[in-house]
Amino acid sequence: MIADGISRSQLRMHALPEWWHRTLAWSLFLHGAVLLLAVTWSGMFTGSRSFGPVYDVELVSLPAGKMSGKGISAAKAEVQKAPQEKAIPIQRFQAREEALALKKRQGALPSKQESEDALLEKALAKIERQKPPVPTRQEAQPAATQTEGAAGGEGQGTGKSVSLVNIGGMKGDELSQALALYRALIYEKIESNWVLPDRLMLDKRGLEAIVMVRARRDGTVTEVRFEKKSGDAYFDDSVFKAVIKSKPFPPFPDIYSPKEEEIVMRFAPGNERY
Amino acid sequence: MVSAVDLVAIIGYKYRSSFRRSGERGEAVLVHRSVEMLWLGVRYSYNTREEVKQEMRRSTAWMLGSILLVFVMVLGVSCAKKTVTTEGEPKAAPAPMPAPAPEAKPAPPAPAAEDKFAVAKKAVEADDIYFDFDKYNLKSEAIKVLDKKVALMRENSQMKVRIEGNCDERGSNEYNLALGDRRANAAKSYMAKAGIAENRLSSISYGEERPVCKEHNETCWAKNRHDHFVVQ
Amino acid sequence: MNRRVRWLPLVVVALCAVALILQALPVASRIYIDFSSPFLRKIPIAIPALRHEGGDAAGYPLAKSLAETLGGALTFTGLFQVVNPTTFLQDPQQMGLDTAEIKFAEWSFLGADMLVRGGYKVSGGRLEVTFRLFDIVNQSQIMKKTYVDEATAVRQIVLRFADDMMLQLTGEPGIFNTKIVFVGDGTGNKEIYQADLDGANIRPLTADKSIDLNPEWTSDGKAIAYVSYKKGNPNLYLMNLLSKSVETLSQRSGLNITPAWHPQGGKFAATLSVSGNSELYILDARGQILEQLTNSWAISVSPAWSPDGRKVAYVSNRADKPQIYILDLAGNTTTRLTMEGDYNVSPAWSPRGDRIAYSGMTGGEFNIFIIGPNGNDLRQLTGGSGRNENPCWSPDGRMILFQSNRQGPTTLWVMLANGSDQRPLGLRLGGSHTEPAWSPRLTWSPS
Repeated sequence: MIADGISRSQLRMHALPEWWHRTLAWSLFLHGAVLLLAVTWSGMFTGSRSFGPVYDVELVSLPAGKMSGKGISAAKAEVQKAPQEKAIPIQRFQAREEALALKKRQGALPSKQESEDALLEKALAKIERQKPPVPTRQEAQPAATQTEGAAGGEGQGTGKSVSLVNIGGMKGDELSQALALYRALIYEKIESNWVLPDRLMLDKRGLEAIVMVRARRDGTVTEVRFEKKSGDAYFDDSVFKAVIKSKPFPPFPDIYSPKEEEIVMRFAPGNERY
Repeated sequence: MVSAVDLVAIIGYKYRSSFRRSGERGEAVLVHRSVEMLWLGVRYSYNTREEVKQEMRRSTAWMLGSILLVFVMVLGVSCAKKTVTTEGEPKAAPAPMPAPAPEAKPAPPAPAAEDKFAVAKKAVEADDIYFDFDKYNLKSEAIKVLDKKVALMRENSQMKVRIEGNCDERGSNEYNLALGDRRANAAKSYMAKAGIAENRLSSISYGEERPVCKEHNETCWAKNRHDHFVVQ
Repeated sequence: MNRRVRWLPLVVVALCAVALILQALPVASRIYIDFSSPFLRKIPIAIPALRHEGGDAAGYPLAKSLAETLGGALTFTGLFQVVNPTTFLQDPQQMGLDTAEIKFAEWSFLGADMLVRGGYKVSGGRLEVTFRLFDIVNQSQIMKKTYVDEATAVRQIVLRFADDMMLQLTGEPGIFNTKIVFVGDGTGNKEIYQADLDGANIRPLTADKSIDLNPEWTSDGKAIAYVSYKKGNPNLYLMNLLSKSVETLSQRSGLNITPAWHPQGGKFAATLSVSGNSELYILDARGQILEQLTNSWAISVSPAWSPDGRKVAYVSNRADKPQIYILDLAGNTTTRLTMEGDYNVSPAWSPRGDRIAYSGMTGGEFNIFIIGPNGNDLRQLTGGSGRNENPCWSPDGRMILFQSNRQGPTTLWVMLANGSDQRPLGLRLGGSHTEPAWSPRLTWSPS
């Protein structure tokens, strides 16, 4: 096959024989195909949940004196003051201790006096302080602890593909920012309504429940369904009530086009005091 | 100090021409050249050995000096501490021995015996013995005190003594009752072994229930870990 | 070869396209959110003043006192947080009583998840109260109950309803029919006192003017065993709580301390040092020794029965420092329970059997720990707050009562069995309060 007498160095520098071309092309094609399949394969089968990109959200301290019984109009007046409250620019899920401290600061309990506007302004202020607000895979990394139960990594596939598919010509950045804001709003609302008594959770650890909520653009909730129950009736009840109490949801961001969306929420206090 | 980088640069420069030619002759040439370089490096550094030696000597001297200084300071502090602690505990020992014997002489014989008993009683009750935390073993100072009491009890054969065991406030009341019981019994069995009849000795534990002081510090706690003696 | 090469890459491309399309289907379009921290750990409950329906004095004092007493009781359970009544929008005397009349949206607005609404009337010296419990979120009534008693029995009625509420909501009856005893030194001497479980109605039980310690309930809750130095030596006594008569259980020489009544009654364990060393014994209800449990050179003290009466946890210093051991009576085997820490005392076995609470020294201070009976799952419940000792369990094993000096003179504190919600009992009594003991559920009427 190879002409005799030609040194090895010479071979390296001359052109390849005909059949080498074809073999190389074949090999390249196969490698590329396998790679492509592998990337899209994981996205296709979302049997295991992937949550994220994960957002680090800090609960803003609610204005003091909100809970004194002054009647609805007076309460509304107080609510207008809400956006001026200093938002703590730390990016961290509210720690339990801080939630308790927050509760103490308030004096009594959170009330639904806070209108959607106030919630929106609060979350907006917070988002604006987050720089950069665009969720990237790199940003999701530090919050890995939150998604330890999620298979398939940090939900890179699905999260991103939503924005890609629904983009309709809009900038990916703007959409992601709007979605981040929307998720922060929902998170704040539901979390502040989540009541899980210690007394009913003694000796119970590692409970996890997943609830799917179907919401419309205008915020109405059409369906609330358990995708996974924790097995503990009190826990599941608390989770369900947290969602119910948060109806109606805030409306979708304008640039987010779908008429309806499925919002999947995982409640997992982990190995806290329970 | 001559920097290693300078060394390599100098040697490299010296042999730059040979690098260009080595490609022709292959690996054998390269090896030969690197060995030469190493030897040159060694020789080069050897020349500056004196400087290097001096610097090393200086830095070693500094190191040793500072270590010595720290050592001396530490020693000084610990010596001071030792003198303080040894002062504290056996203060109880030197106090008694009033024994105003002159008082007994001019009085008639019978009251003398009573007074003698009163004096002995005071002596026996005066000194307590002390224990370490969670311990009921008799320390050497305690033994000395007990020996004195034994001697006094030998001289006053009608004397009966109740030994009260106590603890500091730490730990549970219940455990401290048991610990106080042990402390009282430790003294009791020592004195019994020393020859005092069992029916002259009784013991009771008060645990942490009868502290002599109420502060929450080691000084007070040390005072509470004691056996107290009451003549009956 | 050429033909095969031609259509193979096409197939591969087609497959990838299909995969892309499939993956882009609406099924994959979802928004995901994680929640890891509940905001509230107690149920917010609103208890407006009850509606007066006849017979009460001017100003309807019972309306408020019924509601406030219930609020206090529910707060004590650690399950509820009572919503401030000054936020209520309506006058409770005008508010409706049943489901149709309840304005659920308003209560939700105020932040309440549950509501207790009730009415009462007084006639002929009798008080009749009807309570209704509502679920604000589900907008439905959970339960309705009526109680009748003497007009002065406000507290008893409220506590009975609180118990029924706990049964309804947690599946277990409440513990409001229990009492506590403890040691108080307000008079200058240590005496034994009795109180309701929330610290109300304090009554002295002894007036020995000596040193009284180690109070413990008998298993039927009708008597207290305790230690007293009133005759000079620490002896064990038994006081009948109904007749207040006292009999001597053990006055042997040496220590007669730490009584622990057998869960099924009829006998008790105690520490006696009559043999010259403190050992554990089982004695009958008259004080006769039935059995000697320990026999070693070490100190053995502080026995605590398992709820099935088959094991005894106790303190021994056989390993040079006080640690807790468990004696299995059937096999006569002893295993060491506490492996962490240098000084572990005061074991208390949960009535549920799955945990033992004790007091352990950490960094020079004492804290309450709980541990499984196999030595597993050790958890520290208090920390950084003074000296915390002598834990005892509520009869349902959901709460722990202990003593703490974190806010001044030692007094009694209570917390949930997982260490949350620690608060003082608020005993209105001078001096310090120590060595608490929680009664079983009482069948006789507490005076």
